[in-house]
This record gives sequence, C-alpha cells and structure tokens, in this order.
Amino acid sequence: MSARRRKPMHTDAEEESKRGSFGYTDMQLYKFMFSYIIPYKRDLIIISIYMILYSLVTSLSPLLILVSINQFSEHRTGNIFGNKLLDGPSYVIIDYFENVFPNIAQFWFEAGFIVILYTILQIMTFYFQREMQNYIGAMGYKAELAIRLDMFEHLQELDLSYHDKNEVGRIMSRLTSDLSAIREMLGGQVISNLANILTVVTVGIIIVLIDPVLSLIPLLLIPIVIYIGSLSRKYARPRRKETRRTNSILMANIGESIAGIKVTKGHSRENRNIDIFRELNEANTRANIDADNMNAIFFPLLLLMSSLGTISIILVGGIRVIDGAITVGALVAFLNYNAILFRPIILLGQFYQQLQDALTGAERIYALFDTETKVPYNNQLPDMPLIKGEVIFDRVRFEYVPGKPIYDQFSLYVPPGKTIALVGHTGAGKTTIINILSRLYEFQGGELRIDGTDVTTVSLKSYKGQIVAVPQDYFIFSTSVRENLKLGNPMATDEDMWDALEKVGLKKYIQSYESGLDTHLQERGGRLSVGQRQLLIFAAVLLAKPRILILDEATSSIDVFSEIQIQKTIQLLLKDCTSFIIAHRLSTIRNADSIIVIDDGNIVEQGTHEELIAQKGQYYDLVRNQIELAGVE
Amino acid sequence: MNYEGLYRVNEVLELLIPYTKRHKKEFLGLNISIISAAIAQALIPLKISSIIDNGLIHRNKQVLYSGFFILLLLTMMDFMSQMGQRLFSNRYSNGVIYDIRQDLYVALQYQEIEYYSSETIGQIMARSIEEVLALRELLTWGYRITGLLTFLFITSFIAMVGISLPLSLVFLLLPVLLYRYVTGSSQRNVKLFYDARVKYGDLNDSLAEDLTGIKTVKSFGRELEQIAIFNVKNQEFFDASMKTVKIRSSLQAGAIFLISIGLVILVFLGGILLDQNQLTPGEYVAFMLLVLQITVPGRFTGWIGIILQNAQSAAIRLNEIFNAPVAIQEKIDPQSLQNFSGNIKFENVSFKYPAAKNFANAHTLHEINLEIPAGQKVALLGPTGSGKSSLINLIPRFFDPIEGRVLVDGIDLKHISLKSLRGQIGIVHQEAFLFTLSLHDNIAFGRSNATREQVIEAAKAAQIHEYIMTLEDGYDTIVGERGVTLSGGQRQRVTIARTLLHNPKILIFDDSVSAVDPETEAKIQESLESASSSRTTIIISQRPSSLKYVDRIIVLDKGRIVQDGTHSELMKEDNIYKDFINAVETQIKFFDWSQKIEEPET
Repeated sequence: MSARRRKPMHTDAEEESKRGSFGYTDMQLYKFMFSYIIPYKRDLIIISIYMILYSLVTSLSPLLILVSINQFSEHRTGNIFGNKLLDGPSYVIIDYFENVFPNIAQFWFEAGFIVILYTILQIMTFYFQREMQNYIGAMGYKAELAIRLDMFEHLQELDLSYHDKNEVGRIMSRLTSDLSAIREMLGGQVISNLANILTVVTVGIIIVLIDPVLSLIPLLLIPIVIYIGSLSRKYARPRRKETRRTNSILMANIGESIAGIKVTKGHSRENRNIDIFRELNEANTRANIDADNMNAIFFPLLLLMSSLGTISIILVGGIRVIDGAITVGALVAFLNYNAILFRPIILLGQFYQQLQDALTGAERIYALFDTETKVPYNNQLPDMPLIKGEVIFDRVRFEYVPGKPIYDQFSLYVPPGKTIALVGHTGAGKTTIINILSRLYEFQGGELRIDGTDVTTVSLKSYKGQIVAVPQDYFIFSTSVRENLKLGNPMATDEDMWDALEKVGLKKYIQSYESGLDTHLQERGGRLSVGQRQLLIFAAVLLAKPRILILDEATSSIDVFSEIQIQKTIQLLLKDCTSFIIAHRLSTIRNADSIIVIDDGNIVEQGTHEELIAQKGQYYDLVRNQIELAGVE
Repeated sequence: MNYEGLYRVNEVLELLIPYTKRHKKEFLGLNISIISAAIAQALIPLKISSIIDNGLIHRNKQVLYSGFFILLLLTMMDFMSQMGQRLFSNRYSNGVIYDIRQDLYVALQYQEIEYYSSETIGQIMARSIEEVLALRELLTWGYRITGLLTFLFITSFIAMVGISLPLSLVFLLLPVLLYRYVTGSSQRNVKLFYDARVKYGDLNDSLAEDLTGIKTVKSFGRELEQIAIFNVKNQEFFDASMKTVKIRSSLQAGAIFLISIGLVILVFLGGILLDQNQLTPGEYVAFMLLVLQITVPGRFTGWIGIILQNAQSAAIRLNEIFNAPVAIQEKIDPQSLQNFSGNIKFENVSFKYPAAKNFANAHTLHEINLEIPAGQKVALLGPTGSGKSSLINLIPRFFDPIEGRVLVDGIDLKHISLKSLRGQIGIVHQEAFLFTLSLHDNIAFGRSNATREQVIEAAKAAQIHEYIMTLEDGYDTIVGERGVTLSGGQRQRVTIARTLLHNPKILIFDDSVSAVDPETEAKIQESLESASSSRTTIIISQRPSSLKYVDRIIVLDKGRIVQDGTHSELMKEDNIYKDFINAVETQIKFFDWSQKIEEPET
C-alpha cells in the first residue's frame, strides 16, 4: 500500500464532516480500482474472448431476421443471403434435405434453415453471455475480496491516533456500501457493456453497408447521447457523494445509539434521540432523492434519443422505400439495428451512474489508504532479537497535537527484569510513556532503545511479539473464552489455556460451563464480571509470555475476593520480565523495584517505596494523603 | 436453519403495503405513468404498421408524414411517462425507506436492555442498513420494471389480438414461460442468496468487533491474527457470493434466450401467415416490434426474481426486529408519580436473567425482602455474582422480577409509567459511556433543554467543572468515541454530572466512583448532601471509603441478603463484611492520581 501515500492525514472523519472532494483526480481513482483486476490476466483474456464472440453473434442475429423478412414478404427462393460465399455451403445442406423430402417446396427448407441457424446463434449468444457474465461477476467479487482485505490490513496497521478520531460506524460504511459500489461496477453491467460497445462497432459497419444514407441518423444521434451522458457526470457526482456522506453519518449515529442504549434508557431520552435520528435520516433521504432525480431526468432523455432515432428512420427510410431505394425488410432490419445500437449506449448512461457511484466509493476508500500509519510494520527491517529487557528512553519527544509536546527530553534507564511503577496525577503523562513503549503511537524525537537496539530499526511484528500491553479499557471480544485467550498466543493448546486459567483462578468458573473453553462470552464479555474479565486478560498475558510487560492497572473496583486473586496474579505476571505499571494498588507499588513519580512531563522522583517515603517529597504526600482518605474511619 | 419463509413473498408484501398506503399519491403517480408508458409503447408499433401498410406499400408520402407526426407525439408521451415513472418512483421508494428506517430506529430505541444482551451491535447495524438497502432495490427498480413489464404484456397482447388472434395466443406463451423460468429457478436458488446475506452479516460483525477492540488488538500485537480471522469471514462471504454469480448470469442470459427463441418462433409463424396473405407486411413488422420492445424490460426478468427473494429475506430479518417482544410492557393506563418521596420496597422478589436461562450459574436473586426508606443512604456489598447489579436493575424496571414485586412509595412498578418512573431515578453506570457530543450535551443528555448554568452546577457537584474549564473549548469540547480522551475518573464524573442534572429522587451508583479518587468522592458526597436532604441513595462500591457516607450496609451473597446494618453493627458479626474490611485493611489500598498533589502540610 505504501506506494500510494501522498500526505499524512488523520482527519478522515473531519474531512467527511465537510461537503466536497477529498481532492483526488479521477485518473488516480481509476488506476486504484483497476489495479485490483489487473492481476487476473487469465480471466481478463477469457472475458475479452467471450466479449468478442458475444458481440459477433448478437450483431449477426438481426441479419437473419432481415433475410427472413425479405424472403417471406417477397416469397423469394434461390439465394437466401444474396452472397455466393454464404449461399454456397447453405445450399449444400438445403439441397440435401430437398432430395430427402422431394414433396416439400424449397421455400420451406430455406425458412427452416434460417430458423435453425438463428436458434443456433441464440444458443451461442446465451452461452457466451452467461460465461462472460460469470467471469465478470466473479472478478467483481475477487476484487472486492482483495480490496476489503487490504482495507482491513491497513486499518490494523493504522496507529491509534487514527482510530481515536473515527467512529466504528463511519469506518464500517467504507468497507460496506462504498466497497459494494466498486464491486458493482467492476463485476456488473458496466464491464459487460464493453461487449456491447464492440457490438456497436460491428452493427455500425453493417448498417453502413445496408444503407449509408439511413445509417446517418443513428450515427448523428450517438454523439448527442454521449454528450448527454457526460453531462450527467458533472451533475450526478456531487449528489452521489452527498448520499454517501450522509449515509456514513447515519451509520455512525446508529452505532453509537446502540452502544449507549443503557444511558438512553436510564435517562428516558428515547424521544430526543429519535428526533436527532429523524434529522439525519431526512438529510440522507433528501440527498438520495436529489441524486436519484438526476437519473430520472438523464435516463429518459437518453431513451428519447433512441426513440427519435426510430421514428426518424421510419420517416427517412419510408421515403426511401417509396422511392424504391431500399426494401421494407431493410427498413425493419434498420429499426432492429437501431435498437441494438442504442441499447448499449443507453446502458452507458446507467454506466455513468454506476461509475459515479463507484468513483465516489473509491475516493472514500482511497482516502483511507492514503491515511498513513505513523507506526508502520516495517517488515523489511531485521527482527528484534530476543529481548533481555533493558529499556532506555533517550531524550524522547512526544506530542499528540503538533506543537504541544507532552514530553520534550524524556530520558529513563531501566535495567532488565525490573518492575517500574509509574505514579503521578492524571495528565502527568504516565499513559503516554506506555503508549510510546508499546508503539501504539509514534514519538517524534529522541530514541527508544531496547537492549541497545533502536526500536525504529526493527520490524514491528518482532518487537510487538515480545511486548504485551494491557490497556485500562481492554476489550473482551464477544466470542469464546478460547478466542479471547488466543489474543495472548494464537498457538496455545487447550492444556496451556487451562493452565493459564488455573493460575489466574478462573479455571473452576469456566469449567462450570458446559462448553468450557468454547463458552460464548456475549457482547463485550457480558457473561463475566469486571474482575473476571481482568483475570481473563491476565490469563492471555500469561500465555503470551512477554519479555516486557506494560500494564495500565484498571481501577474499577472488584469484589475483595477477586481482588486478592488479581493481586496474586499481577505478581505472577511481573516475575520474569521487565515491567512498567501505572499502579493503583499499594501492593503493586510496594513490590516495584523502582517507583517513578511523573509530573508535567518530567520525572520528579525516583526510588523504592521506602526511599521515597524517607525523602518526604511528592510521593510521601501523595501516599499519605490517599491512605488517610481511603480508610473507613 | 429454516428457509421455509424464503420461498414466499408474503412477508415483504405485508411489510411494504402499510408503508405504501402512507405514500399513496406517489404510488398512484408511479402506476399511472407506468400504464401510460405501456400504452404509448404498444401504440408506436401499431402506428408504424399502419404507416408501412398504408404509406409505404401504397407509396403514399402524405400518410408517412402524418404518421410521423403522430409517432412524434407518442414518443413524447413515452418520454414524459418514463420521466414521471422515475420521479414518482424516487419519492415513493425513498419515502418508504425513510419510514422503515425511522420505525426501525424507534423500535430499537424502545426495545429494552434485555434485547441488547442477546444482539451484537454488528448484527443490528447490518440489519438496519443492509436489509433496508435490499428493500430499496426492490422499491426503486424492481417494482417499476415489474409493473412496466406486466402492463406492456397486457397492452401488447391487446394490440396483437387486433392483428392476429392465433399469433397473439402464441405470444401469450412468452410471459408464462418467463414467469415459470424466474420463479422456478429462484426457488431453487434463494437459499444461496440467503446464505450470502448471512455471511455478509457475519463479516460485518467481525469487522465491528475488531474496530471496537482495536486498542486491545494492537496492545497485544495481534493484528496479523485478526487479519487471519477476518480473512476467513471475508473468504466465506466470497465463496457464498460466487455461488450466486452463476445464478445471476444464467438467469439474465436465460431470460434473453427465451425471449429470442419466442421471437424466432413468432417470426416464423408470422412469416407463414404473411406468405398466405393472412397478414400484411405492416402487421407483421408491428408484431415483431412489439415483441422486440418487450425484450427491453424483459431482459431484466431474471433480476426481478433475485431482487424479490433478496427483499423477502431482508423483510424476514427486519420483521425479527419489529416483532421482537418488548419484555417490559406498560399497563394500558399507567400511573405517573406525584410528590415522589423515594421509598423503595422489595417484596419476596426472585429474579433470573431471561437471556441466561440455560446456564446454571446465571446471576439470580432469591426471595429478597427489603425496604429502603425515603432519604436513606445504603451501600450494597457482596462478591461477584451475588446479585447487586441485578437488584438495582429492577428499580428502574429494566427487568421484571419473576416472582414477587418491587414498589416505590408503595406503588407496584408495573402500575407506573416508565417515563415517570425513570425520571425519578438516576443511575450512574459502571461503564462511563460518553456520546460523541460536546461535554455540555453529554451532561444535558437527559434534559436537552438545560441551560449552561444548570449544566455547570451539575458539573460542579460532580467535581468536574474545574477540569472542564482547563480545556480549550470548555463545555463545547467534543468527547466520546471520536473526541478528546478523558481519563476513567473524568469520564465517571461527567456521567455523575449527567445524572445529577435531572435531580433524581433515587440515586444509584453502580460501582461508578471506582475511578474517582477518595478525596474527590468525598467532595461529591458533600455536594450531594447539601443539594438535597431527601434523596434515596444506593451505592455499589468495593471501596471502604464509600462506606463512610452511608447509613446502612446490605451484604448480598449468592442472591440472598446475608447481612444488613451499620458498619459498627456488622463488624460485630463474624461474616463476609468483617472479612471484607479486614482484607481491605491489610492488603488493598487504591490510589488514584487524578488530582493535583496538594501542597505539603507543615
């Protein structure tokens, strides 16, 4: 994906709150979309072959109708096609049957011959069309599959500063309706209509051969039709875009309404929510009507051109028939060809609509790809060797908002295997240190070295494989116990899992469910209590066997008996690795090898619990204050 | 899986008919313009036929010119009705879609908490968006084409009868064959379409999960595994869709094939009649043109079957939302609370979560008898699964007990209107959920007409005002999923302010001061104290500091009340409470760093 990056932009959602363009040229978007079907060379060749065959057989069928009408209306026999090359072999067959059934007039053999020929052509048309559409439809889905996977991969690689700013519903609209629009174009009518364009060319040649004068009518009308079609691009595009924009806002609203339903219920706020939704729904409906009305006007205009073609052919062709220049059969064939000629061109009008739809979707998807992750995978870089656990922050600079650094020159040395407790008031920057170390966000200056290796010089996967971070607001997936434990180690066996569950004291509870490890945990782990959810995450950490552990201790209170279990488990987790903890428990802090007090982007105190208490500085005040307050009486 | 409903179209019709009634005018306009298009399109070949017979064969240019003029008029009529069709169709279909979406949202809003414990966000979103889209296809396009095709068959048939009865009877075979072809094949294939839809729902489900839990995924460095999981769903959807590709292409090409064969038979038969002078050349041409004309909408007949079946399975899935029973039913004539004082009484209450009925360790309550007098402050304590949250969920009637009853001020909850009841109760939930709105709107969530002064007052009481003032945009700062990140404690205080704003008579903290440091908690309790003396307060907390502010402590274990009394009373009993306090004293101390460090005392 890296080749397409143009500008760092994390304000995807903000872009969307505005109307108007993301600022890509159509060429960029076409290249982007078609890059997903180019790899299917074999399919493309097969499709082209079927297209050519299909357009040939569709152009030939009306010729037979022309022949048969001429034949029937004038009761001619002797030369069906009036062309030696074609008549020769035809009459070999016809003569053969005439000899077998000598009592039937030659006329009927000729008619029967045409009917059979026509039927064969129709079977071929059916077959070629079906095969062609099979391949095209499949290609649409193949492209969709690939784009969706790329999008998902990109979303996984995007660092948290992107996800912080974009709601789930909003991102989802890109992977659903925007993507479907591209699929429909690549795998649908539009591409199959390319075959019809070939037909237009063949039919064009045929009608010029039949009657050059009459062929002027459709040939003059076609440019007008194409012009009208291209006009629709100008008017339809911004309107389609507006439907997408309003749709994604609507989706974001639905998503949040469902997520926050408990609060809504508690505050009886249903009616107000419904009013808000009504406004968004109305905006989307208005945008849809507005966009659809464009088609409602353009499409009949194209149809009108086709009808005008038909009646002009009647007028001009009629005069020529009366003047004896052409036969009635030729006129009828012309009418037939006019329909064949205009069908693809009218569908081309629809093509524009689908194309605009696809381009609008492509633009929004492209914008997502264009959003660069600040912490790339860097798979081309060497792997991080097995971590011993020495951590050095060397004059690290970090800012969430450009120009407002949280840390300017942050330096810290941690020897391998030590446990570091981070304390300090909210906003002091404890979480930021953790975010830097776990590579969820990128730092802007200085160096972070693990065992002497600059972390930006190794592949992210090898680094993250050895480091586990437990955020305070960890997420339990609404899948099974097993799937959640796999978060720690996808290769873990059942035995490993039960072992880990036992260590965190959850084994008995999980065993009490019939399905054991496959017990479904419901939305956000609803089946577990808050304490049990924490223990489950800890079990996953145990399975991961990290070399460096980063723990943002959750503060949610847990019943006292689970609490003791959690304390035990935390000590277990800290045993064999270098650990950083944003600590909230006195027991955790006391057991730390070193306590770091952070204030306003600086380390203000550092030492063991005893040392810092003896210092009677900030830490002493803080702890004493809290112990006093936390007491019962 | 039960596919039975898929083979019919009852559901989709039942769903759409009431909405269509609401948009009668547009629907009527749509049908009128369809009919007028069908008439114009049938008249054009007839006129051409008469031009050929009377003008061309008899070499009369006058007939040709006047005929051309009429054709021009008919063409314009066709044009106008084509445009009218689409304009009416847009307003009709978008109107219906709007209504359905609105009704769906309303249904979801009025659905009770219970419903949401069994449905994931991804599934609900897929339904409300994707299924509605499937209906949209039917409404905008499917109906119009079907209507046009039907009326065109009728008008063409009438026109043909005038030309040649035997030929028109043969022609009649065409719609019959097409109908058989479409319905026959769609019945065989509808299961495949349904499967693809279900797989699509699964795919979106796993997408929504991943995006919601992205921080955890990245923290564990499990992006690649998530990709692998997603890839499986993606592939499954792809495989299911690929099966539908073949159906689609066969259906479309097949419909065209049928029509073409019909055409050649008619040409042949017509030719014979022409040959025997039972038909004029003009009539013969008219016949052909009529058939050709039908191929235009006719080539889409294959799609109509697909769209209809698609809409049918969408309607079934939508109906599952519309028809989901609302577990909490108001009485027909519910009371509203007047001069509410805040007395709560549980009479012999037993409770079980309905969704969890199959599980042995479902959290339940057994025969709870409890009275909390108005104005009392009570703490609920107990181990995980002891039933604390279940107990308080019964008070705003999020659930109904399976036995016994819950009363406030002596009135059974079932007799009180939900709005009036919930208006008196404020619950601060454990998960501090903030909406993507400004801080002001988040605090004023339950009372959107609150003034800034009232909001500030609530924020002050919740001890969050000072922090808000440090933000650049103050109360207009956007928070939530896409906004400024607040710490757990700050979020909790915003939700406390939100609850305080509507000044409830019963205030429930469901473990919602856990991330607020004890010092701040003390201040919040102080301001609660001064704001109102007659407020019933229930606190679930595991923190001893919270116990300081209550008059009474109730200890639950395994769904039963095991201890009830004041701190000093309970300390005398050898039971859970004493164990709890001792454990806390010796082992557990929490710190919260959300406050500025005070100046050291001298």
